[in-house]
Amino acid sequence: MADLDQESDESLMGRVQRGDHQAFSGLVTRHTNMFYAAAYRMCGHEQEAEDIVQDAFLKLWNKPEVWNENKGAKFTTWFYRVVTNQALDYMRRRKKTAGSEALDLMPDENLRADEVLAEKQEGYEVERAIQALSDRQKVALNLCFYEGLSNKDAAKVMGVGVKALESLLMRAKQGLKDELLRSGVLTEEKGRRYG
Amino acid sequence: MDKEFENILNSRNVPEAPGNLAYRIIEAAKQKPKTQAAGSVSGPFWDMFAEMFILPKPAVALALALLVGLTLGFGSMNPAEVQLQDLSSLLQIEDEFYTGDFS
Repeated sequence: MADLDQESDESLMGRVQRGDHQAFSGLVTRHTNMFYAAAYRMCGHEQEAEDIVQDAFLKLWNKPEVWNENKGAKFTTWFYRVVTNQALDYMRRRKKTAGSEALDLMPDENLRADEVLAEKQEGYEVERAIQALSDRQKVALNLCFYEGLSNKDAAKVMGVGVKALESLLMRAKQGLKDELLRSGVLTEEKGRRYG
Repeated sequence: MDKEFENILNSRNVPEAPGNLAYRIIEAAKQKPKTQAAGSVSGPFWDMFAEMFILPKPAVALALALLVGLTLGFGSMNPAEVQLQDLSSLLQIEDEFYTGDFS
């Protein structure tokens, strides 16, 4: 395993293409947490995030030939694309079967307002506002803000031009600000209601 | 406000991945036979051959084929003329048949 740790993702991917299960294990161990977090931020659902990451890795194992190192992309950038597409599929499917997710994000109505911790409430509002964005705005925001990808890489991941990505990002931020202002988490004069 | 906005976004909480998720993925991959390794009887040549017939954008191809078909159709002779020509060629054959002149 020590050797695997020192090997680059791209080199491990080359071995996966030759059917090396140990190299696949190396990639999975190295990146599961990071891509789980990315998937969770996109879909806002723990079980779904697990399924998204698992499906993406199994796709990679089953069809490793889709990775083409000669195209010059980093493995992680390329795999973000796989995970993002997978997440968009899940979100689309979920929309078809009505908003089950909305229920997950609802605060417990049996709790009295003063029992709900302010911080928890704020977290809920932020999550709700993000999940209310369109799927593509959500993905753009996650890739650029949380995953730290450059606009160029994020545009590549989403399969759009840089200008289109910037526009998605701008609309996502504006939508989010409006929503947070409306819910009172963000206030114009003070910045935040809590804290 | 922008800084506060960023702080709020940064405070977003993400649960940790379940400890055994990576293990589960690795095990699931072991169970799942690779399509390639499962021995595609066809082989790379036939794969390439089959790929030649795959339309990257079937809808566009269909629309183009329709367009070309319609353009060629409208550009050709009118149907009555075509029918006349067909009949006359038939008559000619008949004529040759009866006269027995095959030279």
